[in-house]
Amino acid sequence: MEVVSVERLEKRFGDVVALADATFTIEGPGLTGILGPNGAGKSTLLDILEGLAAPTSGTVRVLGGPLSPYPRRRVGVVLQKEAQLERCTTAEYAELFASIYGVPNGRETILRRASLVERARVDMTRLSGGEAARLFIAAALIHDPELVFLDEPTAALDPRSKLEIGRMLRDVATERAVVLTTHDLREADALCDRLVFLVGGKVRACGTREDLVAAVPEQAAGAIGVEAAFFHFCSVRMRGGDVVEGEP
Amino acid sequence: MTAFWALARLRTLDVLRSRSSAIFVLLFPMLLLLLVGFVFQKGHPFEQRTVVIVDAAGGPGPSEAFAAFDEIVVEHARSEAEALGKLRAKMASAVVVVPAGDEPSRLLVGPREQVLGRGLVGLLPPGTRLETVEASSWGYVHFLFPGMLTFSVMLSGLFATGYTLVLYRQNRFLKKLATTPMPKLVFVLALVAGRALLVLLQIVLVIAAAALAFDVPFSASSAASTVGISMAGFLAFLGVGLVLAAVIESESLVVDLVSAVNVPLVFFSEIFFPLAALPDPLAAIGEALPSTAMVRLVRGVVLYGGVPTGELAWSLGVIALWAVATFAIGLARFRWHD
Repeated sequence: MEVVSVERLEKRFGDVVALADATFTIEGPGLTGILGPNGAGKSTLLDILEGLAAPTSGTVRVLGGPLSPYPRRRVGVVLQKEAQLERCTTAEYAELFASIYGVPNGRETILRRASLVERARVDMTRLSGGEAARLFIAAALIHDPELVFLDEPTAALDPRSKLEIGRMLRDVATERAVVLTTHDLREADALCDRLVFLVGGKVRACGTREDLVAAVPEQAAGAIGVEAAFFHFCSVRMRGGDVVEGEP
Repeated sequence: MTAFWALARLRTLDVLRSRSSAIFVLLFPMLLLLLVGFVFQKGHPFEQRTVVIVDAAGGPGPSEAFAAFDEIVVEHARSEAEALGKLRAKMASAVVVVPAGDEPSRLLVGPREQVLGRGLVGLLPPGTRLETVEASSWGYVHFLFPGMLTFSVMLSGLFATGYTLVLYRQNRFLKKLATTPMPKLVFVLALVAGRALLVLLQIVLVIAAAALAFDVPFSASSAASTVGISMAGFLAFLGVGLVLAAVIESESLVVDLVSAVNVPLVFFSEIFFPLAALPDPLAAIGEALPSTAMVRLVRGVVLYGGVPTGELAWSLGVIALWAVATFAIGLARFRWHD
């Protein structure tokens, strides 16, 4: 089922073109990765898909409808660098988001899903990066959304936490559409069913992981899977598994 | 470069590169000095002595007796109770009561103003009786109490919305809430309600401390009125904080700005001395401030036995206007995120 449709999307900030002529669709259930280097326009794109920013031109449809009015109750969002509120316990944070969506016993559901029942009374600033990420994801799922956006959910996590969050997201994506941004090619390879390659504000390719990988005529030296596909479609260089530069 | 100088340089540049911090450190003291000079150009407010006249016949009383003396300021009161309230709060140095009949006038002074009383009685018609009235030694604290209460409520109001909203914008919590169905109005009202409960407690504690430690003369009704007036003032200050939050983006700037605004407000709000002691332009500014209105209302209710209808309407109107206008502007300009 098509959950996001983007056609000829452009976003400008003054003279700066953040997104140019972007066209793609996202289907669900499953996990779609928007993959690109820093500054590629991933967060700008996600802001628009989340209804937080307006496109300069183009058409965007989310869950079959326009961006305004935005279907807030059908969408869950985890921002990049979420706020860890001072003097707020894990349980109180969970309670807030359960209350916003009016979910009975939602606090317990969030704590259980985040595996943080034992940490309920801990100030949320004392949670580890992985624990906090689990809390934010669980809070974003409390209203059982059909579509979930996550902006670089594993960017600041250690390898073990990345694996944990990856498993959690795979589980979540079995029942709904999950869209995440990342610049980590290996993470994208391990997690995503579908991919949108975004470099320099332009969509270079989109499709299922299998189709994109299969489209690579011959594997680049040292690169396999999504990594090779990204090189092929985007002509980019890499450092330490992350895309650092891209030229059309 | 040694570590000492490297770090010292870093700290200095940190302040200088923040425009607001640089202004606060370098320019604000000079502005403050200029302001103080302007405020006190007529001399210290207490160089002048206030004599309150209560004329039962409704006339001007013996005002002309003091006309030749610049250091005497004459005010008129509606009742002896109001005049005594001012005397006990050290807002007046003496009270002249002119009875309606043939009885002689009375000159009332506090226990620490007897020498002044002996001088003044010589200016009044023969037969005027000099009387010393009992007054708490905390009289000036009584006068200051409404100002201190207003100052506390003002800070709470400004920070409750101004600081919190800027902090939430900086740490992206506002953006997070923007991704949820929470309406803007519900969010703002929740902020208001959360702090209102604390401010209510703050007001009750300040009233209790004033009554118990400094003999501020509260009755049940004047205490209740003080709570009501303070909560109305709190709403006006919340609104101002909401407007500040709409135009300020940095947490440190909002702290600097609130600190910078506090100082003139202390001068312009009758917290330490009456507006009459200020130059006319500054007094005019003070008349239009919600802080002045709140101070006057609380002072009238607690110390002077009530507030004249006209003054009550004006002061409540000023507070209401500030509250409505600032909330309207603040809500209209409120954005969840940039």
